[in-house]
Order: sequence, then C-alpha cells, then structure tokens
Amino acid sequence: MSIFDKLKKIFHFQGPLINIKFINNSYNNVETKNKPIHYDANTEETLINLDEISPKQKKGIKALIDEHLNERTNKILQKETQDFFNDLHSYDKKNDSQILTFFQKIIPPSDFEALEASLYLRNVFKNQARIGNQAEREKVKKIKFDIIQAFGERGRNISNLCTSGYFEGFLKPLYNVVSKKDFNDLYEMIVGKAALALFVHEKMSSRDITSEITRKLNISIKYGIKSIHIHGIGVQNIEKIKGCLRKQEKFFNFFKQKIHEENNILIMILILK
Amino acid sequence: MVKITFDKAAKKEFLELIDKEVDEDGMIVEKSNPNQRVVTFDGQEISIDEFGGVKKGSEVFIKNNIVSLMRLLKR
Repeated sequence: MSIFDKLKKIFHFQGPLINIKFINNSYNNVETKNKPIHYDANTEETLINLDEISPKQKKGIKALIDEHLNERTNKILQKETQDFFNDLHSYDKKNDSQILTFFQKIIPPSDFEALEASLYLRNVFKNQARIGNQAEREKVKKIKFDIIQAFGERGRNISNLCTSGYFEGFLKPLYNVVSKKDFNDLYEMIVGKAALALFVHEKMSSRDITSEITRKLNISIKYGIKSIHIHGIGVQNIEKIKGCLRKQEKFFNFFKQKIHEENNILIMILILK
Repeated sequence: MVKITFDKAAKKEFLELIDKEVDEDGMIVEKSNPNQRVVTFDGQEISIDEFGGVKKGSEVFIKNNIVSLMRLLKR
C-alpha cells in the first residue's frame, strides 16, 4: 500500500493526495480551519492540520513519516527550504565552473565554500536585477545573511568581492603574475582584511566611509597598493557616496577619482596622488 | 515521488510528531531526553529558528541556510 493509500485510510479522505504539507490553525486558508485534512487546488497541496488531527491519526502519520524517512534519499523540509533546495538543485554551475576549478586548490576550503555560495548569490542577484520583485530581493538578503552566519566577516568580504567580479577580474590574474607567497599575503589582505574595496551599505555615514577608506589604505599601502575601490549598489547607497564626496571634499582632494555608474551600481576608484 | 513539507508556523507541531521539542534556549532536543540536543549532518546543534527539515530516520537535521543546503546537495 502506498503512503497515499495509507493516508486516505487514516483520514477517510477521498480527495487528491499530491504534495503533503503539515500546517496548524494559524495557516492562512479558511478552508483548513477545524479540518484535519484539506486539498488546496490552487497550490496542489494536501494540507494536514496538525492542530486538528486525532491521537489515532497522529499515530498513523508518525508511522508514515518514519517509513518515508527510512528511504535514504527522502527528506521532509519546511516549504520555503524545499523551494530553496529545488532552486539550488537547478542552478546551472556551468558558467561558474571555471572560476571554481581555478580557486579550488588555491584558497582555504572554507573560503572555497563561501565562494561557491557567493557565486550562487551572484546568480540570484542577477535574476533579481532582471525580474525586480520583492521575493527575489528577499532571497538575495537571505542568502547573504546565511553566508555571513556561516563564515562571519570573511564570508561577507568574499560575497562582496565575488558579486563584484573581483575573483575572476582581479584575484585570478594576480595569481598568475606574483609568487605563491605574495599571492597568499595579498589574498589575505584583500579577503581577510577587506583592504582593496569598500562596499558602502545603508548604515554607513560619511565619516564611516572616509575612516574606512583611510583604514583600508593604511593596510594596502604596506603592500604597495595605493588605490581603493568604493562600491555602491542601489539609489540610496549611490547617493550616500556622492553625498560623502561633497561633504568631505578636502579628504577626496588627495585622490585621483574615476567614477563609473550604470544600472544603479556605482564604482569609484580612488588613487592616492 | 511523494513530497512532504511543513509550514514554517507548524515547526513545533511537526517536531512533536518526530518526538522532538524545543528547550528554553530555543534549541531542538530529544523529547525523551531534553538534555540531549539534536545535531545537523555536520555535527552542529540547531535552533528552532534555523530548523529547515530532517532526513534519514528523523535523526539528521537540516538548517534552513544556503551553506547547509549546499552541503546537503553534495552528499
């Protein structure tokens, strides 16, 4: 007897049994209130309300869950996690495989993991820029949060550098022209200390921006690098950078400035005069 | 293939179905032994907020985190 047949027997249910979803009484569907089971034709899900099942039904479901999970490849996920997992499963790594192959043996394993996650983030970010809906924007935020949660500030740096193309555009060519030791030192400066680039975010003030520029330059000057890149994504952050340029004119007179702005992304290169 | 999921709001009810509960620190524990915290497939304890799902006989817990899911995909 299949899992569906067993469920139908437990609930005396004749409706369709496709995707099963466990819910409770707080679920936003009036049809499910006070009902142990309901088929939602809109989402094509069979909703089992765990607040409304009898002890006998609960026992039956427990046994079914055990049977389902005994199969090695089966899992039971929160709905959003399942959607996320499906998306990850269908993410085509082909475009990113070159960069992954290049860095796999060069950078520490946990950095590599952060890079893998960041490449997926970049992929989602590009989709979000194209589609532009709130759900995609939330997804970008969540993935970034997850990377930082797993890898800390180092993860934040890697995700910022990756989404801005630094791995293939700067670190990869750098690896090919310097010694292994110099690369490791520079890599640590760029990724570990985030010295090469400043990614402006909504919580930064003008003073924060200039003090971060100074701090990062003090690190990179030791390695002979006298420039820094400032990144701003979105209207607010771009305005923040421009506002900082106006307010802190004296500070920025010490630099040659190159600004590139397109599609709500601003990149400013500051080179110490 | 049967797909089974649970709604975010029904996490605690689902955990009860698999004989788990949440301790006062918000961490998922064995119902039969509340001092024993459950772990993910890579050996980390897991809070109710991080809880994303289970596999393999309800013994392997999955975090709702991109890094966890990527590791799961590789297994």
